[in-house]
This record gives sequence, C-alpha cells and structure tokens, in this order.
Amino acid sequence: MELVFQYRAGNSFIHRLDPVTKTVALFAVSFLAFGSFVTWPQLLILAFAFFAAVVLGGLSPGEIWKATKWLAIACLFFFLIQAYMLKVPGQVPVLRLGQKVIYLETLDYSASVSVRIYTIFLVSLIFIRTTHPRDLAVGFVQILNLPYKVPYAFFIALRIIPLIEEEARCINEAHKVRGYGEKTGLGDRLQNIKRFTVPLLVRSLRDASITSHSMESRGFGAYPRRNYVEEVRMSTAGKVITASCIIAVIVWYALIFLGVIPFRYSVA
Amino acid sequence: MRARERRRSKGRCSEVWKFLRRKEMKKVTNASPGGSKVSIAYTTQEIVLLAVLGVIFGVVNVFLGALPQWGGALAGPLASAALGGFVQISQVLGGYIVRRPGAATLTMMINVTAQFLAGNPAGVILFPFGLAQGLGAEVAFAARGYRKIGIWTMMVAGGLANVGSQLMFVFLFGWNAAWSIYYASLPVAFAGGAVEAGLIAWGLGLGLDRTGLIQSVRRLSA
Repeated sequence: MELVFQYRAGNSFIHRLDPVTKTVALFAVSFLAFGSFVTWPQLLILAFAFFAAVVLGGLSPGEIWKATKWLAIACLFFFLIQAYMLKVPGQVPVLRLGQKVIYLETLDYSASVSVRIYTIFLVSLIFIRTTHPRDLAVGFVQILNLPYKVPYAFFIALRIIPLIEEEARCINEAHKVRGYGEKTGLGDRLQNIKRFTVPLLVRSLRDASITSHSMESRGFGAYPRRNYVEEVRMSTAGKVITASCIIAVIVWYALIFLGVIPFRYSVA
Repeated sequence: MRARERRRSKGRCSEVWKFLRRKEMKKVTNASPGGSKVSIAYTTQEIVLLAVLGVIFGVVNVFLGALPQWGGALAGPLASAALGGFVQISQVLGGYIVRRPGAATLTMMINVTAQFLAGNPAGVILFPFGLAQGLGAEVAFAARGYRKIGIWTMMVAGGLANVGSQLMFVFLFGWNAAWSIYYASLPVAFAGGAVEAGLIAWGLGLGLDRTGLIQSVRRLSA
C-alpha cells in the first residue's frame, strides 16, 4: 500500500537536489512563515510553496489536494473558530453576529495563522515526497561531515514507520481473533488503548533491536568513517539555493524590523 | 495425601520462581550500563532504539500536540499547562530504557525532528521546545545518577519536562496574561507532566520490562 506521506521516486528539479539544501529550504520557509501575522505575506509564501510543489517538485494539484484536503478543512474550521473566539482589539468592524462584533484585524490574524499551518504542512509534504530517507542520512554525513551513527539510526527509524502500520493491523486482527473486539465507553476504550500500545511498542522495539544486531554483525560502528555506494554532493544549484534561503531569511527579518513588512495587521 | 503434597510442592516452586523473578526484575530495572560508572558511549542498539522511540512518539505527538493547544483555547493557560504532559512521554521512556547521559534529550530531539518533517504546524519552534523538554527530563535522571530509576524519578522527569516546556514558552513568546497565572501554571505543569508523562511512561516501561526486551538491552550495554 502506498502511503500519501511517503517518498516517491522521480526526476524533478527538487528530486535531484541534495537533502541538505532541501532541509535548509524547509527551515527557511518555516522561519519566513513565522515572521509575520499578516495574511498577504503568508499568501505570498503559500503561492511560492505551490509553485515549488507543482513546477519544481512535479506534484500534480490532484495529488496535493488528496494529501492535504483534511488539513485544509481543519484550517478552515480553525480560521472560523479563531475569528469568532479571539479577543483581538480591532478598529474596523466587518461583521456583527448578535452581540459579537468581528473586526478586520481579527480576521486577518486568523487567516494568516491558518494559511501558515497549511503552508508548513505543504512544504513538509514536498520534502518527504522528494527525499529518500537514505539520501537524507547519507547527505548529512557526507556533506556536513557529521558522525554517521545518529543519522543512520534516524534513517532506520523512518523506514520502520510503514512497518509499524502493518504491525498495528496484525495486533488489531489478533485481538479480534481472541474475541477482544472494539468496545464503546471510556473505560473500555482506555483498556483497548492499553492492550494495543504495549504490544505495538514491544514489536517495534524488537524489530529495531534485531535490525541493530544485523547492522553490527556487518561491522556498523566499527570504524569512525565508512564507505558509501552512492555519493551525495551539493550541486552548484544547491549551493545557490542554500545561500539564497539564508539571505532571504535575514532580509525578511530585517524588513520586518525596519517596518517594511508588517508583523501584525494595523489600521493606518 | 500425595496429591496434597504435590500441590504444596508446586506452590513452593511457584513462590520460589516468583521470588527469583522479582529479584531478577529488580536487579535489571535498577541496573545501569557500564557498572559503577555511567558511560556516554552508546551502543548501536541503544541509538537505534532511541531513534525508533523518538520517531514513533514524534508521529503520535503531531496529533497529541493539539491537546494543550485546544485546552488553552477553550479553558485558558492553566488547562494548556495541565494537558502538556501528554507530549512528554517519549523522553521519559527513553531515559528509562537507556540509562546514559543525554538519552532523554536525544530521544526528544529525534522526536521533534520527526515532527518537523511530518509537517507539525509549529515548524522550527519545535526545536527549542524539544531541547527544553528533553533537558527537563534529563535533570531528574541525572540527579539519580542514571540508575535506580523508580516511579518517583519518572514522575519528576515528566513534571520537569513539562515545566521546561512552560519556561521555553515564556522565553520565546512572552506572557500576555497576569504573571500570577504564569507562576500558578508552573506547579500545574509539573503535576500534569508527572501524571500524564511520568505515570504513562512508567506503565509502558514496566510492560516492556516484563517482555524481557529492554532487559536484554541493558545486559548487552552493561
């Protein structure tokens, strides 16, 4: 079964970029998105993320919608609830619902936060879809010269995640065979969670344990450096993008501090 | 007569078995790797276990992380502090399984990295929070010298992890409500973390102990 939030092979521009550049870009978008609580800069970042997903990452709008539709609906509800519940002092009334007056400032703030949530999820989706977990580990070790044990362990953990889904299904069916069906009621639900969590955790950790023994039997960790079948290098495009991302974040925050880009909505 | 004797003998055997098992369990749950001196040299198995633990709970925390936010939106900052403990389970359990300096912090940093990649809306803000939460739990384990970890140590670790989160919140965002509410939120956060993270992690740790899985980890790393 193919998961929505999983790497898919491809040959797009983003697929060909090294994982360090993509990680820097991911951080940069996150920094940019957190730099402002006004809707128009957030929409600007979202438009750029869509451009990167469709044109540079080769994701179709249908795929993006399929992966993000539930979050989009959640963001819409978040916007409505925030717009109604927040007590942001406003000056421009837009709507009156009974005694409650909804101001333009509140709407702007709520929309900016909702768009930001969607943008960050979308950028993560692009990253996961275009970056193989192995390249992520190898890239960090080779490009940044990090010790290889922790990045590799992280890579193995990421590979175990789809297996956990299968384990969860097996445990669920094993419970049903033994007559432990799903029950309603708070106490029974808690019992279900307890009965489900420990076996799932045990099986996952056992898999990890077996994998680590297998790694050690092949000499993993015996030497401070290791050889690789594939080499991951930062291309010129990668270097340019990395530098651009860092400069963009510095310029963005400088513009916010100088008051060119508004941090919060204000009425002139 | 013979049947009664057999039953009595079986009962004695069972008691001896239970006693030995209790003794063995106590020995293993209180064991620390590296004998008297706690070493920082992690084995591959320990690193992989912590990474898996961090990633599993990272995925879980993407959803559980909404609990304190909803609590805060519906009932204010005290409810948010009280519910924050549910996201602190991984580092407390990590520190329980692998008794080495930095185990709790490493688990939490892997946890937040997984959350960041999975698209948690908090984005880069997760990293300073993860560090504060990991170090909070670490303080409790370090105070016990990374050995003899019992229910109270676990509860203190959970409580301090949640307090660390609360301190980082003020450091990053400031505090808009009255400061008296903030001071009240610290013991509430401690109690919430102790119960939600400490007790749940303790229960999970005992469950894992009974399976013998982490006993083998401790024996191998000793």
